[in-house]
Amino acid sequence: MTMTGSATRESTFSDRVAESQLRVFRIAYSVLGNAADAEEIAQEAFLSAYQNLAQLRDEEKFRAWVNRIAFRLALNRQRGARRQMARDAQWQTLQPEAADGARNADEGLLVQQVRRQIETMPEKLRRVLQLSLVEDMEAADIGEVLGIPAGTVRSRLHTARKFLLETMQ
Amino acid sequence: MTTYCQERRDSLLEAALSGAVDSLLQEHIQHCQGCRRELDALLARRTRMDAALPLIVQNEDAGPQPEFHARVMQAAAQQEPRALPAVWAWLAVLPRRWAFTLTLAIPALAAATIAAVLVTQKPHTNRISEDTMASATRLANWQSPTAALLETPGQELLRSTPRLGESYLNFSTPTQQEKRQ
Repeated sequence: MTMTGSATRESTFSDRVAESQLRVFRIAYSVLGNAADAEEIAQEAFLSAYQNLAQLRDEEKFRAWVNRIAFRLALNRQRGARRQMARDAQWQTLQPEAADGARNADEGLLVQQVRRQIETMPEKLRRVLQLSLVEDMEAADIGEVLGIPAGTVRSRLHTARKFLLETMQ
Repeated sequence: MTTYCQERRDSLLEAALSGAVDSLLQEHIQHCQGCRRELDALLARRTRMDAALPLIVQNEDAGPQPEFHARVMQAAAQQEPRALPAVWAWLAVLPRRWAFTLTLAIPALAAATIAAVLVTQKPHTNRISEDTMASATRLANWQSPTAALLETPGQELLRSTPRLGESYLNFSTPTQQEKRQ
């Protein structure tokens, strides 16, 4: 590839990273609940996408593609961590991090409680709910990440919210 | 603790989630204080849930560090994108429909070729030559020259069932008179 081609590719990729970084980070964060891990996964996802750019036939699909990579990497990280059992305990202790953004202690406690309830949900419901919390992730986007139709996403999201409403104190 | 009609639980949850109370439930809660209180409690809980859910992912700290973009670009600059394997690169330049068809056709063709090779190379274990069959028949019908000597009256006797009170041992033997005749 020529220097110009390489520069163009890097420039385009840079724009895509800038446009997607917050969303990709939050997809990972929704699964891992930990900013440091989420950032690591987001970086890994972008690098993986960059390395395999040649596989992407339709450039318009970059957004969905990188979303999917980030989600899979985050799930792998979570599963690996859970096998060690230690990470799971750490996840629980890291809940205050999520609560830091809350305006007051009550709100923080509520956020922690909701997170714990989400963790008790069946995985199919939990994944849909977690991804729905990421800004500008519509049902179609979530469906592309999970490989299910948008209608199924909406149905599972409703069931997940019902589950949460029923189990919350 | 609110007491409400358990059979209305699902309707109450649906009403709290949608914010719309259907006519049947509306009519019911006009008379049932327990269900009305439960609906109010669920609506309050839904408000808290809706407030808490976005904070899980969208709180102020849940974002990449300011240097994230630069770090990703720096890491990307240190590695070249992987080239596609030759076959995929060739498929990539074809129109999408052709590429899809070929992606299916190539493995199908390979599978068909393997199947054809397996069928043609399979040994014909079920075929028996005429010579082998004739030898086997001869062998099955062969009898020892002394086999006739082994025959006894008992063999004939054993072919029939004795009547009541008879025995296999009570076979008739020729008398002296019969022998003389």
